[in-house]
Amino acid sequence: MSSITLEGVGKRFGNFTAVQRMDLAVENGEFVAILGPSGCGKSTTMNMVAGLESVSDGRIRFGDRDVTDEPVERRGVGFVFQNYAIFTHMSVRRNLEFGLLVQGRPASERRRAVERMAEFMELTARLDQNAATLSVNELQKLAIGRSAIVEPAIFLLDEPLSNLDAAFRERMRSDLRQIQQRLGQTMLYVTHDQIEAMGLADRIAVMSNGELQQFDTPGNIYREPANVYVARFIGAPSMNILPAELVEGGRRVRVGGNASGATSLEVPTRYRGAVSDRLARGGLRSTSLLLGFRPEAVDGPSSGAEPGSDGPGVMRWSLAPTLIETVGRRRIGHFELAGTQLRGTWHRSVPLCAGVPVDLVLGERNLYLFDADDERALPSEPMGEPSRQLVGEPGPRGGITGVSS
Amino acid sequence: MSEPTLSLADERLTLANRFLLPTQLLLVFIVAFPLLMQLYVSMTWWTPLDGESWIQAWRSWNWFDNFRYLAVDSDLWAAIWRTVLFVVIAVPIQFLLGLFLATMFVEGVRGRPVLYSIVLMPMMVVPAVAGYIFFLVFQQQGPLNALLATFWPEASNLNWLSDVDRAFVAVIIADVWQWTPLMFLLLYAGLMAVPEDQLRAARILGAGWWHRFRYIALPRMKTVMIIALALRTIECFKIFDMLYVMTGGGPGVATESLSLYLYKLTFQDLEWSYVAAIGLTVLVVLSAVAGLLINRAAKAANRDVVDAGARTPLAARPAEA
Amino acid sequence: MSSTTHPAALVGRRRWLPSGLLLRTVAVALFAAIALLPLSWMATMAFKPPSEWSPSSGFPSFLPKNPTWGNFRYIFTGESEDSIVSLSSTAVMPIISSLLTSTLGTLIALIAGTAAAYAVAREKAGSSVGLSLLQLRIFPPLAVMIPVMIMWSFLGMTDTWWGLSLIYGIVTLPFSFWLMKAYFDELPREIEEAAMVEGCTAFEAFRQITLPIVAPAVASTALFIFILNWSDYLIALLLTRKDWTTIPVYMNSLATAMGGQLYGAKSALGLIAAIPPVILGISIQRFLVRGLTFGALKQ
Repeated sequence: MSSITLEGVGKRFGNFTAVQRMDLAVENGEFVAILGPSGCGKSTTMNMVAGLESVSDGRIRFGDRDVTDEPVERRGVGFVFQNYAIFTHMSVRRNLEFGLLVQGRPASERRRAVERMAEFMELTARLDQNAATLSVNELQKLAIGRSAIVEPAIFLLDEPLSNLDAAFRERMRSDLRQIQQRLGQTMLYVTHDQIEAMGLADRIAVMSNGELQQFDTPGNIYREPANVYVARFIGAPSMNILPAELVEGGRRVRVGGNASGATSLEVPTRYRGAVSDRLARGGLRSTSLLLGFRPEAVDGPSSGAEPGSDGPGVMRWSLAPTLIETVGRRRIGHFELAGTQLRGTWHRSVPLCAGVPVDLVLGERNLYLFDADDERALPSEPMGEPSRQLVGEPGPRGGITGVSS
Repeated sequence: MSEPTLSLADERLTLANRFLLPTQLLLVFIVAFPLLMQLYVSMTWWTPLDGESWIQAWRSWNWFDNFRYLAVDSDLWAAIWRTVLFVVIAVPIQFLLGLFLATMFVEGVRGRPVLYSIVLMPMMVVPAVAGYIFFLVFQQQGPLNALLATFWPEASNLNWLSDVDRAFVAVIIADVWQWTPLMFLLLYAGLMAVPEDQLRAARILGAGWWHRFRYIALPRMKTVMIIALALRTIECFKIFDMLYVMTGGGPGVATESLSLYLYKLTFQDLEWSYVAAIGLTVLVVLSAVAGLLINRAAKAANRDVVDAGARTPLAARPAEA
Repeated sequence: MSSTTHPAALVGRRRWLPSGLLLRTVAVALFAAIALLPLSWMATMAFKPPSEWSPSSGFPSFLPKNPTWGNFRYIFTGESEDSIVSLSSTAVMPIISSLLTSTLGTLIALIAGTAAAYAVAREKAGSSVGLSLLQLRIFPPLAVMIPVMIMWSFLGMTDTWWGLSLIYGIVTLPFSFWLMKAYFDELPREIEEAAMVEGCTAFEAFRQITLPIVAPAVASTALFIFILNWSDYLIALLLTRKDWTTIPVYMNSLATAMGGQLYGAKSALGLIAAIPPVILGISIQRFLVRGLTFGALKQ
């Protein structure tokens, strides 16, 4: 078991920067997901940790050991490939024992280890069959077992569930989590599926265009996205982002310009310090902001907030939806404001009609402010009680409350 | 749109049969008549020296005398033995060199495209011309001796083509020169077909180059290796052009392969009926061997069909076995 | 990854890779040199005047001291300024013969083979044809040449361009058949059926739909077979005499009454004979694995 430390690690291919220099510290026994769309550099990062790619900058450490220059064969990591890379011309037994075979372990030792691992992975019945005849589930278990049998300190998984259809993914997800908890290895898990990452990981590293955007627990990433990218990437439907302006000397923020439906609201308490800093610095763009709120944060007509209780920090908005969708247990309303598409989700029991204005009620805790140019979140001061949990927010220990995808 | 008078399937079948006709005719032409003719002639004493056409060969009918002689013809068996020796030495050498070259290319070399084309060249040279090239090279005052003489002065006295043993070595060298590229070509293709992700997986599990070669690459190259060896063995056995031009079978009979012996019998001794008998025997033996091997290959191909089921893409597999 | 390393590389990248790469490149370059040297020896010999063909003492030099086109002139005109006896026949006819018979033989093999391959691939008709053709290639030519020689002579085809072309076509038929069959197998039947539903005959569908699709394959196969025919020695040796002998046979038969070895002239001929296949071969190198294994393996 070992920690993984990336210090200033970056990768270039000629003129193209695949991974910008990043620092990442994964703790012993932690399950970290590297999340991002195709081409964001997540696989390259993983390959560097494994040693399949060389490092252009920086150092990689496993615990105290600097492995940056060590060849793949000596790093002692486990790696599960996206398409499993099972040795299809060998039996299941041979596949499992390969790592030990290569180490020169005696046959009796190998046999025992293989039988134990096969039992653990429920593959005992298949041991002497050709590995290529296995079903997809079994292949994945075999891939993991094959890597696990040599007891690597670190486990790397490269989108291992992307080959499975949705039905299996769910089952495999929970299987994987159980396996990780049983084996107790440090795991790095690359995926483009945010639900997977949010559900499985202790912490998530969100990447985009080769850059690390944010590295934090799923809960924090959901509640305190570091920038617009992360805010939009996590959560489905994604967060609504609107151009906004600081008005009245920084006490209020106005959305929607002069269009109908535009409104202004008080700057949320936690941003007040950052706002006054901004204005003090001055500059042309100091009043330009982006305002964000999640669709599921909209409470609507049947909210807990009482009509008329426009206390401080509660934004109330009246907009008429242009389109209503009903998906599963949710009702999604599409709105338009000054050319920007917005969405809000309610429980399906809530009555909504196209063209009939509804009230969108947002607590100040569910409003986010970002700089309009670099799209980074405004610094916020920690507040008191967190608001009640939203539908769709990650629960305290992984898992997502109440969402069926 | 006209109504076809025949169904689509019928029309296609008719076309197919017509398309087959030329080849079938040629095959009958080249197989049926010659076979019968050969059978006929082989049971006589006929030679062109008789002055009569072959149709009159029945006049010197001898049943199986030619075949009996075949069994005891020491010259024939010596030629066969020499050919076998030649094949058994030259083919493995080509194979190993080709394999070595293939692994070098797969690991990576600078200037790969250029080197690849150059390395392939020898096998594209007309074999008769290659024979002549090495005739020149192995001259006593030729470039090879010149090269050797730079660090071993006695080489200038070395006689290759008129020394019984060295001539044999010389032809082996020539054959290896010409056909190692073929082995390389096939083995390289085979090596490249080894799935790279499996090689990577093996590396991560700690396998060094030897383990990866032995457990991952080699098993997957079985088919290619067998094809390469079979192809070259067959061709090597048939060798004629290069030997004829390079040594003519000499000195004496030192490099007389089976084909060269048959040629000698045909044009020097004009023993055509005897050659016909030998030819028939060779045909029968080879057909039997080929039939056996093709049978085994067909069975192996069936096994591969089962394995192919295993290679269905992951998404198409059943969820549970 | 390094651009010179294939992903399947068994060794892969290490810090000391540069020296590994160097070693391998040197090893391969050695092979390349060995490949080129004998060829270039003959090539330089082709440009040496008779005085340099056999050194009076010691070893001949690699490059000609007085390079000359004389050898080429000699083989084309039969006359030479140096004191060599003139040739009874020049190289002109052999070159024509090689060109003509190789091309015709290729055409015969292509047409018959492609048609038969189409028939077997599509309709599974006459499936024994393929196997018979394969067996043709296994037998040593000399085991079957006696009856062929008799037949050819009987039919008056010895030493004729059509006789030689015919046998060339027959002997390379297995290649065109198996190679084209592999390509036809890869094309779905529906292609022609779609056209036939529109009212085409089966033949029209083949000609206008299928053929254009396989045209590149036909081209590569044609070049491949041409190389095989051009490189033949034994068949031409047996079935031609003086009129239609091909370049390789003519080359080897060059001798003069003086009994001297015409190294330079023969080398010139060897060069002429060797260059076309080498150029063609390199241009279809991607196709070679397929061609040589009768379509069993792909590159």
